[in-house]
Amino acid sequence: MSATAVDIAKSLKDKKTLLFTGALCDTLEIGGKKLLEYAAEIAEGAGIPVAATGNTIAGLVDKNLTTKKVFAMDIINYMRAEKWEEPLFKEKPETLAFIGYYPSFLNMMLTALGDTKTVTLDNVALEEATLSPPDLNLDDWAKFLNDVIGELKK
Amino acid sequence: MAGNPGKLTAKVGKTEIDVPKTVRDIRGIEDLVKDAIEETWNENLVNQIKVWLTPFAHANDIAEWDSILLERYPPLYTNTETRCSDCYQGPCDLSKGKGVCGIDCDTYQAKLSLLTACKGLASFVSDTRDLLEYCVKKHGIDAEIKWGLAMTYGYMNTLAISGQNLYSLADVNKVLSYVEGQLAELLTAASHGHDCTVTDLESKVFHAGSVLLAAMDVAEALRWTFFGFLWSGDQELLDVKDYPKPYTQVGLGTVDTDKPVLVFVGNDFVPAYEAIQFIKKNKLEDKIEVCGVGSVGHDMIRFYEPAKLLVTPVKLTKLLRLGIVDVLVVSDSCCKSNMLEEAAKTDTRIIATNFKQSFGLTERSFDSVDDIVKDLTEDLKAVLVFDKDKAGEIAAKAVQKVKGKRKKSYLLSANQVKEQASKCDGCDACFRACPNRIISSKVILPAKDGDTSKLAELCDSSLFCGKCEAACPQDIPIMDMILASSSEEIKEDNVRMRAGRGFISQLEVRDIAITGFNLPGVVNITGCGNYPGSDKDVGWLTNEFVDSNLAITVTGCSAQDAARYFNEKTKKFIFEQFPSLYNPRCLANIGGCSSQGMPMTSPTYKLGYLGYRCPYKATFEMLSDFMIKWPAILILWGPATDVMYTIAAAHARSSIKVIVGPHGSNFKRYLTGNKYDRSKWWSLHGLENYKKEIEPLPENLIYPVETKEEAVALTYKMCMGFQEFETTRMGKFDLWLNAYKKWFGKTMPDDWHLFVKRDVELPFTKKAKMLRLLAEEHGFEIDKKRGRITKFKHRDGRMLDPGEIVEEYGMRVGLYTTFLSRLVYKIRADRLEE
Repeated sequence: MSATAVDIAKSLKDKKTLLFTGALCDTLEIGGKKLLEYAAEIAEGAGIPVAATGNTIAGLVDKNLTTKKVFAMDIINYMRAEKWEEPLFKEKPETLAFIGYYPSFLNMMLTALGDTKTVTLDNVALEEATLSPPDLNLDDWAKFLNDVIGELKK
Repeated sequence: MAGNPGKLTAKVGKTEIDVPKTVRDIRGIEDLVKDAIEETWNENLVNQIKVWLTPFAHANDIAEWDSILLERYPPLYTNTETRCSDCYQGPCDLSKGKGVCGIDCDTYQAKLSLLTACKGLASFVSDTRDLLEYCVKKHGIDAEIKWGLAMTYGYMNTLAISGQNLYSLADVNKVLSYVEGQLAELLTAASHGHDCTVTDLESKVFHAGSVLLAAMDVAEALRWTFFGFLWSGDQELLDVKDYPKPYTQVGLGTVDTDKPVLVFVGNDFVPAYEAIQFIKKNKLEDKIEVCGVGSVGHDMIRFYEPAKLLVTPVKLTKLLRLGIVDVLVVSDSCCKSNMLEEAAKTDTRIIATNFKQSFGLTERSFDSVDDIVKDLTEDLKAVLVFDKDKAGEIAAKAVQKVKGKRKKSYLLSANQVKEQASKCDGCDACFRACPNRIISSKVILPAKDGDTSKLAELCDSSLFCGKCEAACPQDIPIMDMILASSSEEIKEDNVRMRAGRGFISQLEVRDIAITGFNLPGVVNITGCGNYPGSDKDVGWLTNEFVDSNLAITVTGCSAQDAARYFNEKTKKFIFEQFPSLYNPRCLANIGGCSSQGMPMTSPTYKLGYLGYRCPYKATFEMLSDFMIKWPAILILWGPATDVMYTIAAAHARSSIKVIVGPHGSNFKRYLTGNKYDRSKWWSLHGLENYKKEIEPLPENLIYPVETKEEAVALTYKMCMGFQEFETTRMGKFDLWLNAYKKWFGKTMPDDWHLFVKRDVELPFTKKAKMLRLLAEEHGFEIDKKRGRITKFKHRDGRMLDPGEIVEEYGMRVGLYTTFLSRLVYKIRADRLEE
């Protein structure tokens, strides 16, 4: 469902949210900075841990975040287990948020999650996600992410 | 018949075996079963376990093994479809509960998974049937199948699943008929699958894979026996290291466009074979450029040295729009539905040769060659000719006449590129549609002022799928703009590789068996080129593995992408640098994707027999059970077809771990383990028949990754086995941890401590840090002065001495282990009395 920056920020503030950072966080630059920088600011603002997938841990490890290198499908797989044991999160997360994924990879994860609440932060409106931004061009996407960060800081 | 008259027995040493009791249904294959037992079983073995064979196996014959795998690696469905319209009572929305027939959402996904696997199997089997019919027509049903100098046991995939070896076309027909029969049953199950469980259906998906590999053996046997394909199985081993020479030219820059350019695409190489016979007979080798795309290209270079490989099939649109192709001969697979439309843009003539991809054209096999050539030369854009001999001749003749009669150029001029760029309004619909997220207004708009450098950069990384053009509200021909900006890049696209060598010999497998104890792993990379990033990424992966002393093979279109890796220090392409062997620090191209039976399962089965005397005829479960410890990884980098889906299942069932690259994420199902669930990680003590907890290895069977660095790190981890020597484990640990150090911010994997059972397994250069972390973070007790672990922390919390942990966690080397209780060794009662 297409959502506003306010809606998304509100959802991210839920302390049972886990943010996934995907491979495109390392390669995409919008509004003059890397997508990974936005991701880090969002995680910091929301106070949520980061599941660093792809190679994104390299750019996050020195930041003041709760994070570790994970393989994306591991977490998706653990979400279906009866007992949650992944130490990155004390209990099973209720919301999974995603930023910086190839569309097919993102679709793969979202469709495997069933009823779990999902939030995407890429610039495409997705039916498969519970909340996602509307279709945006690159400049508006950067603005949207800055708005989310602004809301989180409030 | 041996032993009692009237009773069919096989004799192994002094022991007689009652043959009908060794199979589910002897059904007229008594001789085959008797021979299989006498040739491949030894007396010790027949006295320790029940002799049980699964000749011409039905899915259900392997179901026990399948259920063990699926219990540990339960299917994780993605790209799920929740609306079922399979019956007249539908549609049913399965996201809200069961359908009217009682099927639930997961079972429906399993049905779809089976349907995909059946499609993959069907497309290959129908091609192989075509090929067999062609061979029978030319050579007769009794024609012999060649084995060559180095083949001792036969065609291993066929043997493992059916027990039937290939000596003649009649044997080939037997095996292929069996495969076709299985396909019919599996397809029926996919239609009526609501009666099944997920495990039932996924077991059948596995089976589709296993019989696919048998069909691939068949096709490979036909190729080299009757069409003179390169075949290392007929070479002296000393010659194989440089066999074939790296003469094959790959890339768009290799084509001499002053000559007529004839290109073949698809899966059926016979029209190309016939065209080349015509070209050779008429001494036209220097006058016609013969090129290939996809599977047929990889086949052509195995029988015609001057043939060139152009692009991977995913990038067929790029090739057509460049306008360098005069005549394109199309069979099936590797093609696009809009090829006629794309070819028309550059006046490229199309000769379709297969009813599976006939473009709605009228079949013209009964017209004369000259009439068809005349029509193609004049204004007819496409013809359909099923007769392969005739299609080949038409192609070779038509290409010479069409040359010069096509549009000179389709490419945009510099001014046209500027004009098109100025239409861009910066909406970035192209970016949102691009599967690789590489095209955007930031790339297009600079071209307004003549800066096309960003467009040119995409020549290598764009898939030319056309989604950007379709999404653009201004109808900007983005792919044409990239091509018009990339003339230099295209000229420089010129690399060298070795053509596929086919068969891996017993002697190479023997080498691996000996070095295997210290071998990090064997890896095969295959795929269709459908991945994000550079064409050179597969080369990067290949180089990383070969440089780390793994044994690397490549198949399919991955081979031509691997070939792009150029070592700036040695000034050599990767195929020029490494020997063409199935050995550590070697790189062998096996062949097209239709040769996928050769590089992984076949040598793995051989290894089971050579190294451990595991019978290999109709003993699929035994072989797979044994080989789960073998460090064999299949990497599907950029798969794009149903055949690849089926191939993944085939390898997983044979205990070969599969890693799927990004965009392989269109797969419907992965097989993932949960390392935290200790109940899943066990093996049977092969002598005492009790379950022992083992390390969570291999953690997954079919698993997707996002980046090439993830693929490398995961490969090293998945190469670790739950039963291996200390030095072997140390080497793999080192590679795995180094990958994290290099690419993942110098972090450590979160689960490395689960694999520590002896301090001597810790790599020297990392030992101090690892010991410290074991003490500080994982509760181990360490003797700092001696650098030793004095107490290991078991996963259940107990503190154990070094001797105890080895006994209680994992399996020590040399101990016989199995997952199948019927394979636990039992001493016969009469032996006990002795």
